[in-house]
Amino acid sequence: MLSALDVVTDLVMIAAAAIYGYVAYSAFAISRTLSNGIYRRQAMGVAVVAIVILILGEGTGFNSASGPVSTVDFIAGFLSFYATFIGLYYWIDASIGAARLTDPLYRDTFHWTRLRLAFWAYDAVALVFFLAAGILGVFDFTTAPPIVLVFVLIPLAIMIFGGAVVLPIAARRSKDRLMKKHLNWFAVYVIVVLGFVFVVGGTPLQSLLVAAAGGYFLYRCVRSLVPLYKFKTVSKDADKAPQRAP
Amino acid sequence: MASTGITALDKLLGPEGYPERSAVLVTGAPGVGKQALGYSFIHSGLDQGDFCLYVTRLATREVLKDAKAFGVNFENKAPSWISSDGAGFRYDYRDLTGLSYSIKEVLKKNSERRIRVFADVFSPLLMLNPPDAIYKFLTQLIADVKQYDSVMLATLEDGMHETQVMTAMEALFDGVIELKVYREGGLSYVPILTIQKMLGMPPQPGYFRFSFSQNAMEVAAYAQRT
Repeated sequence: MLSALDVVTDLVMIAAAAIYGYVAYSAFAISRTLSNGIYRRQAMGVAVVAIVILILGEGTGFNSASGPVSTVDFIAGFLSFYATFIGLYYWIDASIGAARLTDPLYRDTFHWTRLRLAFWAYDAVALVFFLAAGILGVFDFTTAPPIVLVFVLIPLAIMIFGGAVVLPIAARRSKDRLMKKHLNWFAVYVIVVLGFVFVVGGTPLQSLLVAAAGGYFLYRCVRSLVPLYKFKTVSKDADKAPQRAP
Repeated sequence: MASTGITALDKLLGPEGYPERSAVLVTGAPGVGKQALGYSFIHSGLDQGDFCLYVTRLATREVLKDAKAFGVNFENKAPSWISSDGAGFRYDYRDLTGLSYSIKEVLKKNSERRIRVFADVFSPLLMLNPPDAIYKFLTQLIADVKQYDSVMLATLEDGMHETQVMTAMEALFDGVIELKVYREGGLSYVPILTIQKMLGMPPQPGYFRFSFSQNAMEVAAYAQRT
């Protein structure tokens, strides 16, 4: 029999899922209106983060796990966790590129255009190695020696940390005021939500409430991807093309 | 008339594109597609045998790579370049006089042909120089370009300049095209092209939806202001 707390937790989870789903949809929809690849990736990055948080929330991320963990569960959990940070890095990488495009001096902060390739390559190799070794039975995923986890997680940490250092510098060089708003909202989201959920921790209900509130920050972040306008009074009977005066 | 390189947009501006001896400004947020209009404009000019000048703060190879992503290939027929790297004339934001001189020299040498100029440098120039200096530079540049059988297309970033700067810049041009993203009903985001003004055209109340597909830009009527 479900307790009142379980019911409230489930309702909050559904609300959080709806919020993150809407954020992901909005980010995808906005990315489709943009033609420049870097800006599309920036929007997609927000969508990826929203989707991964949504999956984590519906899966094991916000629910305390209990009992032995199977290999499949471990891989699923690990990949969900990993995907969150890859999504985060994907967004950081695109945002640095976008900041560069709006820097009037077009500076390549810390040679990021080359550094990013090295980060991606190293991380891809580390992840493939980890998964291949585990699947081939070199080690048991559920009892993987710490050195293996470090081998996979260290490049991820370096990527995120490196990006987190470069992005504010690149953002300061940019003159795009709306992009700065976008970055500020995302930073608030990361600090409040990911900081609370992954670092501070709390009961599942507390985590869900913080995550749901954080969905608002992520939504404001999406709204700051591009200036958005509303139609004035319009008629959808669009006439044929206007003619030039003779 | 100078074709825009986009059939639907040519029909919109009727009958064949941008007016002769005009300077047209395209404004829009970063990433919305202003450069694509420039690529199509220059590519169309090259196909028609016009002399085309591309003025950019980027390196030539970066523009070539980005143009390819939009299905525009400048490798067989290339415009003349003024860029930060890989061009005959180097773009230097600190030297407006030199930039003006370089453009004038190139135009003078090719004055026997129809000329097209595309420039995406005005937003960074406005951010790095006093606005009055850029207005003066641009006024003179437009006057120089119009001495020839030419059309100039320029871009300006929406959201990165003060309103009065945008208004002042738009006043210098014969035509202004805006690319914006509109939000409809909370669930729909629509990229819309509007013609704020164009030499020889009456005020245009229409909203036109644009998109990029199969390496081509499509423009279609969407709604009318009532």
